[in-house]
Amino acid sequence: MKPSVGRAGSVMWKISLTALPLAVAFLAMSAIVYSVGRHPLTIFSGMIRNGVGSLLGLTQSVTLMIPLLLCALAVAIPARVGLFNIGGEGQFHIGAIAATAIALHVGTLPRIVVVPLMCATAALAGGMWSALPGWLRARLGVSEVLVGLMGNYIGILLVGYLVHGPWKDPSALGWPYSAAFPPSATLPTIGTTYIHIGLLFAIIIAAAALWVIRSTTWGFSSRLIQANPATARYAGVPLIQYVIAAMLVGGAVAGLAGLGEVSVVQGRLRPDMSPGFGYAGFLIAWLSRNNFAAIVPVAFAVSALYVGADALQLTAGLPSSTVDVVAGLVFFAVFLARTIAAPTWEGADA
Amino acid sequence: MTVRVRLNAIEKRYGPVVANDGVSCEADAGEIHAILGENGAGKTTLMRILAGLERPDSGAIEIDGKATTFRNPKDAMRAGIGMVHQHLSLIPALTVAENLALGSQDYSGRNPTAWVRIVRERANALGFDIRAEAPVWQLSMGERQRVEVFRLLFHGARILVLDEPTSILSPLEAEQLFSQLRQFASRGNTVFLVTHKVKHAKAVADRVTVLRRGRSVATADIHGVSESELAELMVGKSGVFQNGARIPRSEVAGGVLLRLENVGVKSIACPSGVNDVSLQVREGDVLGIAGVSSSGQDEIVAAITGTAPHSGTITWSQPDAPRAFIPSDRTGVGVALSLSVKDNLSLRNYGRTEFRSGPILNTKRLGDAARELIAQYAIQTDTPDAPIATLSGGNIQKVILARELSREPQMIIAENPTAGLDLATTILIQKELSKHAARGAGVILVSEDLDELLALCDRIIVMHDGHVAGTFAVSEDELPRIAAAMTGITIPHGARQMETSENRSAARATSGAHVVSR
Repeated sequence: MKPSVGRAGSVMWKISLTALPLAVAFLAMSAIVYSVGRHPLTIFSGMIRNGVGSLLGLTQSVTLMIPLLLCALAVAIPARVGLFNIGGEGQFHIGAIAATAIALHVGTLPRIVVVPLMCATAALAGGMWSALPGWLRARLGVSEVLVGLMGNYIGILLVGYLVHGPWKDPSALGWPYSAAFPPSATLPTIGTTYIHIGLLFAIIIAAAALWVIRSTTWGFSSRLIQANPATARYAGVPLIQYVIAAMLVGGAVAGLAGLGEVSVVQGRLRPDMSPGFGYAGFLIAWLSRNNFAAIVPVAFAVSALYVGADALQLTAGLPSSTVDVVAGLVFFAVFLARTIAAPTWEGADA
Repeated sequence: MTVRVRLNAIEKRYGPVVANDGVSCEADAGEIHAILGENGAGKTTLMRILAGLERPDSGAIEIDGKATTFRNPKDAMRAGIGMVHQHLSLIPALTVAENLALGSQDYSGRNPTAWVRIVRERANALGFDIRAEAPVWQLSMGERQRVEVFRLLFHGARILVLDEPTSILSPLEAEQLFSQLRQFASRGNTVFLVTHKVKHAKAVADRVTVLRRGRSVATADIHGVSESELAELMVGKSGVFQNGARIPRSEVAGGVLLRLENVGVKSIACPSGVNDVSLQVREGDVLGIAGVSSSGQDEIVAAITGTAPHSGTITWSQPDAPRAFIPSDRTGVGVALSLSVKDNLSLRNYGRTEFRSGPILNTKRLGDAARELIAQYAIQTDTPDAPIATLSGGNIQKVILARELSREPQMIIAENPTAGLDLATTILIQKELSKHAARGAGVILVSEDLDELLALCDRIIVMHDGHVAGTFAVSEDELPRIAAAMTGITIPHGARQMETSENRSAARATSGAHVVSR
């Protein structure tokens, strides 16, 4: 039986497919909040105030959005050739390590040299970290999910090794930190905020990816691979190159996220830099259906949600895991709605 | 004879689409009744209503003179109606006996060994040759279908509905099915055979009802109508079937385009592999590759199209000339279902310099080219941007055809290009292939439809069990030898006079064909 094109294709339908489950998620959240003896309205208004309602909240949300958006792009770009880059977390940490290596060894050079060098190294390192699962996938058919996942542990543990061992800062009073980045190894920021040039990178990358997918032969080939690899092979698309390239670019973007955090937000390499940016990126990419136009606002919304809910610890005395409950409810509700409504041929939007 | 089933003025709509528009037909006990029509004529809908899978908007069903309504397939089964679907519903991982146990009230409380015995006994009684303990995935499609039919009889069906049962069968298997159906009907049961093949209706049915665009246009005694009359009823006045879409070409073919020498391919389907295949195709040549399915045809095509590693040599006279490939797996390989009609029409062309500047696509030019092809090949779609999944099977094949043939290919490799398609599209495809051969393109046509091969080809290679069982010139005289070669039997040339009229007609039956005369 043919699903109706009109309904599934309309913008209103797509919006309501996200808006409706969001409403359901917040209703469920209200019930939970109510059950622990709080009034949902005060809690939600607190979330909004903390997330976007004040200059501080807004600044925090934009700051957090940078690694989230970059990690989401790291998932969405490989997804456009049908791959799951679950290894964003590892690529993030490897990018951070690469940036730290530059900062610690040649960080005293002029900033105009150090910053581009850090960007290039972090991107390259993250890219190589994901190109490996890409290559294994393309050449040998090894699942990129498993290899990527294992790469996460290695990346995280490698950071642990470095900050406990060779890069441990003797002046850090025994804490496992590297030495602080010199000023010339700090990315440019807006004023005294932590909003750094990574935001510009992320938006440019999203825009470029949108353009590539819509308007270039590479994008056409990618869409073909995503839609049906057998057809792509038949049309003469060099699948192996595309698979490796998409993974490489994805990993490079995640590497930039690691660079931003280590260089600006933390100012040094430390073991607990990421609260799971790689996985949150997966959530954002999925919520935006790997659509490069939607991914920017969705990343901001998720970021504001995290910041808003996080502040509830202080303002409303709710536990920090409230954030995860909210995110989980949203994810689950949207997932449910899409599964129920999914037309059979549904692919990603251009 | 008594009227067993009567469908009266059945009407069924899906939104704006009228699938059945007041369709009536009836069948007696002991009758095989063919429901004949093109794709989308409403045949399957009508039969799904009879089997309780759909409820009609209006109209009546009478079984043995009693008005009946079926709310679900169980109701229909209780009335003795069972349907074999085009896509079989057996569970591959289970054995035949286990599949039969599913949904059977008789099974409860029995141990598996006793159950297998019961299944065997019942199969013997009904004249079915069935391997009760074999897992279904090991069975050929023909065997699986036999199990499906047997399952329905096992559950007590008196009225069988078969939806396009021959589409997955080799000619020989089809003939076996037909004889089983005749046997079943001769015991006073009723069979509805849904098909779009006039020949099959003629071969097995007693009466025929022809559907066109959701209406029943005629019911006739099968002996009272000719094939061409039936074909005309099916497609309307405009597209009357003509045998031999072949366009006469000059007898002397041009230069050799493709040569295979001692090509071998590893294969899962043929355990011994595909070995020692040598052939050549010249300009303007139409070379047929015949054989029952999984005889090595797929592997040879894969070697030629470069998707499978091979031994031996494959030589192209002009390696860079455009080639067309029409794969048998249309939706799995031929198109990307989630992409639009336009994208599917473009996917072999978008890299060409006229459609891009550098890496930037000229989407306007691609769109214009797609619209042109849609018009030229009369592809039925609302807009070029509609997902191709919304198109019918025939229109999807037209998209593939338009895309492949518009490249002015020097070589066309077509795998079962008309399988399962309606008559009008079949004729269009056959004519296009002939037209390009007449232009000087080489054509390799792999088909399980011997009629089609005979109608279009200059020579036919028969594959059997991974090797070439023979190469034949196309003529009526060769038909018995072609059919025999398909089953692995070689009839030597000198043995022509030994041929009896009996094995000759057997050969015709095997091909499912009535001989094409030119």
